Amino acid sequence: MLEILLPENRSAFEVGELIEVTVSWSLDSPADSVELRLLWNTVGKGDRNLSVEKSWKYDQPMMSDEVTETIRLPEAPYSFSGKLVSLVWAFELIALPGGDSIRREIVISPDAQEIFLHSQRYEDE
Amino acid sequence: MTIQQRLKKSFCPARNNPFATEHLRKIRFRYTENSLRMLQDRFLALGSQAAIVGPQGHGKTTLQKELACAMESGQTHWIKLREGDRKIPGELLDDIFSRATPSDLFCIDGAEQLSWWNWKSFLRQLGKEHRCLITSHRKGLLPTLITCKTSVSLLSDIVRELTFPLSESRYRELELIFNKHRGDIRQSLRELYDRCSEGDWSSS
Repeated sequence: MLEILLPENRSAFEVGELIEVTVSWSLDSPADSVELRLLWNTVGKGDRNLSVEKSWKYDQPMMSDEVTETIRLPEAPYSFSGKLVSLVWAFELIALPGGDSIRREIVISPDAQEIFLHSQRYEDE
Repeated sequence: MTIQQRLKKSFCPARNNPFATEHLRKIRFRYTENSLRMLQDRFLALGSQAAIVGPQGHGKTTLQKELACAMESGQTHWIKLREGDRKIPGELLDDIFSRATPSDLFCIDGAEQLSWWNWKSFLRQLGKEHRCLITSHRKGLLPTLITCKTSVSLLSDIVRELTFPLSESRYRELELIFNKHRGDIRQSLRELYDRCSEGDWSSS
């Protein structure tokens, strides 16, 4: 079992915010390493782009453990959504080499809200 | 206009679009008359050099990838040709053939793009000892392993996998989209992406 705990269980943050992320795992079989990644990827009509912005590697991990990292969130790019593409930030925790993983999507933007490129108002307004 | 109808018109963020590329990539080939095993046996019977034939958006590449994964082989050499690629660069082919062993598999996606002369030249280099699985819009380049066909029920099956059970009116809409794109599932799904992004495709 893998787990990512975010402060106050929030999922939206301001750019550059300093947060504490706690990761924990309870493995079924020994792993070479466990890795926490902060990444963004695009989702939409076209090809997927992905960029791992920061990562923390725990080599030869114990079968069960918990680690807390203090992380300064990046200044950019902002989380946004349009009709054609969304940019999604996420923390991923992966046990290697097995590949067991967990992902928690978050929002990073100046006001901690996803930026929408189109109006969400109803058609007749 | 009811609230439900108004809501249907609101825009759908790309991350929530069920027809986004990341979801389409997970769609598997639907085997109808032939199972994967039967196709593997037929490939062997054809001398391990054969073609998956069919028009654009009929699942040729999806099937080619699944067959290549399923077939025990050394290395698989992938050559993807795009519209207008009349030739495979000579240095690329020389490099591949210099490293290739008889257990390797050559996969050419879009082989119909090659000019007649360049196709013959490739066949000469390939010889009889290498295995080769191509996709092509037209028959005749290699013995045909299978001709891919599509149907409205295939499209609706995929849409159900991606979204939700379809009402009768939605099925009729799919029929129109399918016919508009002449059975091209890829284009049909792209249109559904656009409709969904505009809020024109929901569960009712």
